[in-house]
Amino acid sequence: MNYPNQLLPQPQYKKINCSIDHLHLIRHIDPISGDEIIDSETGNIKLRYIADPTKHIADYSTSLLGKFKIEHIKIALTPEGKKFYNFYCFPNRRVKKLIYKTDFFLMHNRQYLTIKISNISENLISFETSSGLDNGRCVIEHTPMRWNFWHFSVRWKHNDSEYLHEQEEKNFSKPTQGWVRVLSTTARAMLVHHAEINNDNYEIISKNCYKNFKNVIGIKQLYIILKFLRVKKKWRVSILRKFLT
Amino acid sequence: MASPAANIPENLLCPYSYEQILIDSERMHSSKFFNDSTCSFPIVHAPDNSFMEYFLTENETNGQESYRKQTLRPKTKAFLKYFQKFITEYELNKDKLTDYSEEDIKNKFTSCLSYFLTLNPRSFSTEVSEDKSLFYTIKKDNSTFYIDQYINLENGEDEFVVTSFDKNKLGKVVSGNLYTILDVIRNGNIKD
Repeated sequence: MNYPNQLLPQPQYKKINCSIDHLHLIRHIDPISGDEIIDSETGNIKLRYIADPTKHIADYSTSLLGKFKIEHIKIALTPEGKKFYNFYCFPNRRVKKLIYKTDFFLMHNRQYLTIKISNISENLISFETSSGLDNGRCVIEHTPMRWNFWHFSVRWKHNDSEYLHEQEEKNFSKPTQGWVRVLSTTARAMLVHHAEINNDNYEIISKNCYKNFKNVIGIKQLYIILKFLRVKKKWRVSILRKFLT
Repeated sequence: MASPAANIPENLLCPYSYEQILIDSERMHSSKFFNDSTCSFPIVHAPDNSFMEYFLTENETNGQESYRKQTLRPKTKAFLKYFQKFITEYELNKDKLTDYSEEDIKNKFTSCLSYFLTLNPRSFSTEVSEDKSLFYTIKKDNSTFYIDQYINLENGEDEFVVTSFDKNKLGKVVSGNLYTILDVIRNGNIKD
């Protein structure tokens, strides 16, 4: 089986920084035998399939649904594959394709959850701690990885300054007077509330958001190519102008 | 355990096998219960008759005979249902709560459940979390409340965090003791 090329970083790709509120994030679920994913009483996805314990919510790995298709959630890295591919990278890095069974394999029993970005992104969370009124916010950050350009991290910021995932692990079990426990607890509840199972209704990201033609060639090279192709001068000028803007 | 008396009308016989309910006179603490809430003739074994408060007594007539029919009150049925679900959840996940005795956990849960049911939720569920907490979901009217009960046996006072939603809009986030968060839910105090 060939690894899907569209998942890999490409030389012409760039960091996604356009508005993505209308898009969805996707994350795999590994079902536990004999257990239902959905709580029959509430209709919510069970906590253990979202994040348990709460510290797992601090830097929550997902993918941007669209070019990363639903079937791609079956892809899992082997221990060998993780040694090289399970790292963050620049979006335009050239990456050697993964090899089936050596670097990755397929988990066919996986299911998935989706979250609409607008439901969680930038929501202000206000709460009181012993030190007074605090607030937190969800930030969705594009964090491409060598195996997956579409990797996004769901993170949480305290008072718009410090990240939840940079806090010491012991603070997650400290009393509620500490902001770490309250924010992580609320973060998890937000995902439980907004996560949907097996939703296949989503939009796809626009190419302008992730493709950057400039990364492939410079203006000089483009001029030479256009001349070689005998493109008429007025068209050459128009293309070069667009390239520069 | 006694089987039904021979002169009980057949249509009132529980279609499922009977289980015995042991009811603590101080609180509803069932160990087994009927698996069919429509079963209208429970067999009850209790130290005194204070358990009768959990039952509705109605006069029923079947042909020429009349008798008193006792059914569990809706809140009692709800309590038993959620308690049994919790037991199942606990049995599957007790390894996450090894620091605490089973009795302590059950007592904490039944105490909370009693209060939560006074809120008349339309749905309720419990999960055991690896944070050594019980995670409750309460749906009431158009609101949803997610409550984490962090177990603390050192000073006996558990810590609660409630995250509320009005449909999809995030509302109040409050931390404190059980009464603090009950106040949030009772007063519909969810909008920030």
